[in-house]
Amino acid sequence: MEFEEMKKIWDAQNGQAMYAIDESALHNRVIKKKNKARRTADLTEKIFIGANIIAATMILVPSLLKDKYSISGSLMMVIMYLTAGFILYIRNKRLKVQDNFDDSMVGDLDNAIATSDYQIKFSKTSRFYLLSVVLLTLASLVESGAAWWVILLVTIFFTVTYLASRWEHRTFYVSQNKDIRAMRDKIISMESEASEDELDQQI
Amino acid sequence: MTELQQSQVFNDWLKDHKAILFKVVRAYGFNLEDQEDLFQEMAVQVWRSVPKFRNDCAVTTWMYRIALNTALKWTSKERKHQEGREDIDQKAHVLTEQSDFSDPRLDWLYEQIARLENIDRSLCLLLLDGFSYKEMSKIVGISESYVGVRINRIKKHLSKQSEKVT
Repeated sequence: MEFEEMKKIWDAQNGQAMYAIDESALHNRVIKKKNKARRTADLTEKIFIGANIIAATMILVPSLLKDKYSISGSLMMVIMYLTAGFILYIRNKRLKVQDNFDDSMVGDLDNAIATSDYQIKFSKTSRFYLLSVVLLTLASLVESGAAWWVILLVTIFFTVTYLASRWEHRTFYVSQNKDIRAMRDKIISMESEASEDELDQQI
Repeated sequence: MTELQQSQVFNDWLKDHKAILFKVVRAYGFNLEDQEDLFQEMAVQVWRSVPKFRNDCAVTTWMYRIALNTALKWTSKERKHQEGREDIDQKAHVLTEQSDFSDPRLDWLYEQIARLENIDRSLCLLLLDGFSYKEMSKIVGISESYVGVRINRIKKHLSKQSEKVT
């Protein structure tokens, strides 16, 4: 069969509908999915920023009122304010660049890579943040003379939380990022391979 | 743009160009559940894209780009094994196959397209729908000369496969 004939067969389907769409069900699904994705990204960032500011202020205000400061408490407060500021900064950066991509599939993949990079950065920041909270919590427990088993329980709890967040980071964010990058690399490498073929034919 | 305006444009696009989504869905999803999952994902992406559309290309080109890109990402993520599957099982079906629509030659053609590599699959759909090399290069984001090389290979491959059948 020649390609022209395939094209005729292909064109014949245009007058007919392959599927029937339940429009109201589709509309509901679209709205639900759209809202869910937007809410998840926004909410995570807002919770992170809000929780850090509130927690840091809860350390700062009593310290100011009582005029009593501990090293670990002050450090934790500074880290929390800095983390909130950092998340706010990368969130603004994300919102600014999200529509500045080429209108092509490669451009869309670049956009997806940027989003995935952002998720990785966010997840990494959360892990380092958790690590600093662990160290400072342990320091404040030691400072206040807590029992050894309390320190042990807190250590176990934080270790499990840290391992779980590392697993989530590797399983979801990093592997998804690798997949998208591999797809983009494939398109680009196929292109250069084709250019070489062309050159070979010309020679 | 208000949500109501966005919905109106989306409904118009869907009414006029749903065939594009159907073709991509059939080329990338191999059973009705996957096709439905992919169709829903495409519809969401098309809906989201409405405010970004600047009229600097035809709506068909725009729809094809979104549909193919969604299909490409959907295939790589294998969403059917993740949250998408659970969603579909629980919700009312959005797509129903039209039983009176059947042509064995067209089925064969879709089967051949489905066997191509992801990018070739996209190019083949665009080629069959009459897009120029320039338009294909813009939609996929690769050079025109590369499109030409791939198209030649696709045409040769399809002819060879058809010879095997006849």
